[in-house]
Amino acid sequence: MNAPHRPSGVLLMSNDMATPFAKTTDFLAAAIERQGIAAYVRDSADARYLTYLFTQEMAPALPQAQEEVAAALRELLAHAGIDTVLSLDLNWCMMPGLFVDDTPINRIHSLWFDDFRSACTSIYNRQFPVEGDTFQRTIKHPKVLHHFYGDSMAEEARLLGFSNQNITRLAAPSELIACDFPCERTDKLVFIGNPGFRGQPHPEAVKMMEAGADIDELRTFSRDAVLKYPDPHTMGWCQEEPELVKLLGVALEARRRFPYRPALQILSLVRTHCPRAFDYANEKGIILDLAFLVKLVNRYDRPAFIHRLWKRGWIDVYSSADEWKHYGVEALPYVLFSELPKYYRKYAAHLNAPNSIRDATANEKLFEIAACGRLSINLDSPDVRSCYDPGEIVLVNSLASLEAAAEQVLRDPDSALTAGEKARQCTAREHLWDHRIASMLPGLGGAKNP
Amino acid sequence: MSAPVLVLCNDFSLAAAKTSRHLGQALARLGRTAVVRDTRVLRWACAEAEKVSTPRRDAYEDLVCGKWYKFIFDYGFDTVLSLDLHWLFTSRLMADDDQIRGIHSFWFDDLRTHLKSAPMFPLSPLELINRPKVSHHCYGRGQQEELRLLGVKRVLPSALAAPREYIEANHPCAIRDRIAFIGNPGLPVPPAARALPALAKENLATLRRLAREEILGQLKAGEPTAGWLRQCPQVAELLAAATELRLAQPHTAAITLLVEAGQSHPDAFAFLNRSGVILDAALLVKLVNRYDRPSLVLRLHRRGWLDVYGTPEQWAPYGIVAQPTVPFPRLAAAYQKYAVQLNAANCARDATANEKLFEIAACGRLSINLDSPDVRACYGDDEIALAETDDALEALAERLLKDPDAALAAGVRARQRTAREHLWEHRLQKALA
Repeated sequence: MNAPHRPSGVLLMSNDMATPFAKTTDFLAAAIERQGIAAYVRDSADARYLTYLFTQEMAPALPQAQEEVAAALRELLAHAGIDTVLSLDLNWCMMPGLFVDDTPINRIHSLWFDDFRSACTSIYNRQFPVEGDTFQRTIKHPKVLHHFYGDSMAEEARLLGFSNQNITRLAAPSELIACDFPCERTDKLVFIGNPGFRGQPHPEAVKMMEAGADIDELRTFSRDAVLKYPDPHTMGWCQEEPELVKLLGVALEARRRFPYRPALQILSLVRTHCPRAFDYANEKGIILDLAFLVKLVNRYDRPAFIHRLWKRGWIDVYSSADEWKHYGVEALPYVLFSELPKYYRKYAAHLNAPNSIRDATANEKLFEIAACGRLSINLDSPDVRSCYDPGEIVLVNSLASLEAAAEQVLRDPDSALTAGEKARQCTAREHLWDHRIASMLPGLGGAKNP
Repeated sequence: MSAPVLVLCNDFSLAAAKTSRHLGQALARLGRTAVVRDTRVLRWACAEAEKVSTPRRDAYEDLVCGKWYKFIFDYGFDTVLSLDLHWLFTSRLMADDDQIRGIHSFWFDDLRTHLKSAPMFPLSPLELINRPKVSHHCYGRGQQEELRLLGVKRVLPSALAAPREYIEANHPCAIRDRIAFIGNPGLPVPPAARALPALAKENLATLRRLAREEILGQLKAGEPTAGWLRQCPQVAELLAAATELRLAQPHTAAITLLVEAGQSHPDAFAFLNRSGVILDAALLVKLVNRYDRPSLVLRLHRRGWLDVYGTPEQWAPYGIVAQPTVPFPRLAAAYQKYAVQLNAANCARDATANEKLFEIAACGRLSINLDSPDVRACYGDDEIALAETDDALEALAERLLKDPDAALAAGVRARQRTAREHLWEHRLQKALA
């Protein structure tokens, strides 16, 4: 058997309209370079904008625009000896044929960051128009390997027909391991990020948080809210197919009881009870929209987590003040990416909570906080538990236990710092982008120490 | 941790893509996070939109600038760096942004070629590139002089360099009885029919005279030069004088020679200057050297001593069957495969110490070059081979083929010098100091 072929050059496609994607793409590129492989990062946003530019009077020139974009990338492939393409989500996928039909390209890696529905509907991810099932054929091409960072996310993808897939956790950039900004705040915890779900919270949910409701109660409220206060789309679907109410009701309750089960898997299981509703949703192409509704059971997980400590005056929150104000939380300004290490290190302990829209809980921040030698308090979930041990991070199951854990950290920050140091060591050993690259790309024989 | 550096390239020039990556790696070794991005697609699109309607182009510029503004802000870049003016594609970013404290242009191409091949959203380049925070690093004295005479401020000398990875490359020297040339003929247009037989037998001085005759002979035959002559017939005399000067001073900046010749033909010089075609006129003067590179390659090829790697279609008119272009990842191996490499500057640039000079040296191999002040300033006689004429170059090549060990020993010295003085880290340390 031939030894696996070490890539000769990797093209990383970014989408700079969303800076978190750009930042992680650059981390991946740096990790690839450290393996001695040339990495070229190219942004797809300017090309994606062409789908806007080439409308109306410029529409006839759209094929020319496609050709130009493809030529630019193909010339780079040839001269730079690129045989591997890598991107977050489907940032590599801009037009039919590109990369999948290019002989020099052996492998395309999609490292999923977002969920499939968001990636396909985001205004940031415009594509050149395609016909029929071209898009599906492209993303399921045998050259394409999809990497999912959460077990449930992988399960969702399998149900969507992605057979060529791996579990590849997110990770931290190696530069964080070396950063040594001082810990200035041991009297408060911190959360850096947005509430997750962009829509405004239901006032009743905020009232419940104020009244001290725990996470189970909020999930129960969310379960009921989906059907009690349906959005216009859901209302329309339920009018067309009344059995959908039953399907959703069962699925929402299942998610409440098993909050980390993939929403799509739950829907599939419920199919046996409500086949007509499921078939209706499938034919209408709204299965992912229904899965989204099921995920909304967890929509208050993150805000409730933060709100609970905010109420006690134990936490600083940084990020979008406009989004947090709906929860009665006054957020401090957005932290620039270049300043993130300083802010991670500034506090002895962080709160971390996943975005409910993604069926994956071991988010990038989990690894970044740990790489900075700081403790994170997380909701207990199988994904997170598989990455770190309890001595390295704190796992809680309820807001009451969160509050107790936070109180302990504030009383004994030295222990928090010790646990953070253990998390840092674990990250340096196992959870850097260098480790992920070494397992994703063939022929590297394990990561070099960055 | 210092703020990251944005490195902008334009994949229209793929050599620049390679060097931009090297710049990024060098910055990382200096402890600066480098983020490399390309501008080719947006430049193409703004030129296409311009053809259709101004509002369309403006709307596209709004979208593109919005994205870049957020990107620059979110990353917290304080320095922008690029080859040529690849950082400059709109007047609405970088130059007026308080967050960006320094912008560095490492000149790779000449200004005329850059402006013609890199479309931009509408702007006034001279005003923007003369902002106090913009520095222009030139690798050749002629290039420096050309920019200065064009009114560019903060022009600093900074030779090109090699990537550290070439210092660490260790491929075997498999071919000691032949020399390699890796590259294209320089100008992408085929040689004049008359030049081909001359290339087969004449020396460099004769070929430069022939090139001069071609330039002057075609002035009336084609546009835009025929138009210049119709409006100002004295332009022919000015160009005759400037190209004559170039024969005697082949490494003096073409624009300096034009200025010198302009003293005797002030009306013609004023006409070219006023019409904004002074760079086009300078290119004609540079073309006196157009056969320098192909003639050196042909001379050694004729003797059966040279393997040529490059775009086969560009070498075919010269009767050379070139082996395919070497992709970037195989360049170091291709340099190291031979004990000796031929190196020759691109005539379109008034600078002779090209990137290959440093890359070959970094790979521990000897390069044979035409002697010029720029090249001599970078390496000593025991590190590279310098020849005054093509006859001397041929003799030198013969000697080296007979004693490849001496060539390899010189290559080792060149590599040591490169590691000490001529890596991209050295250039960036100076520029960012």
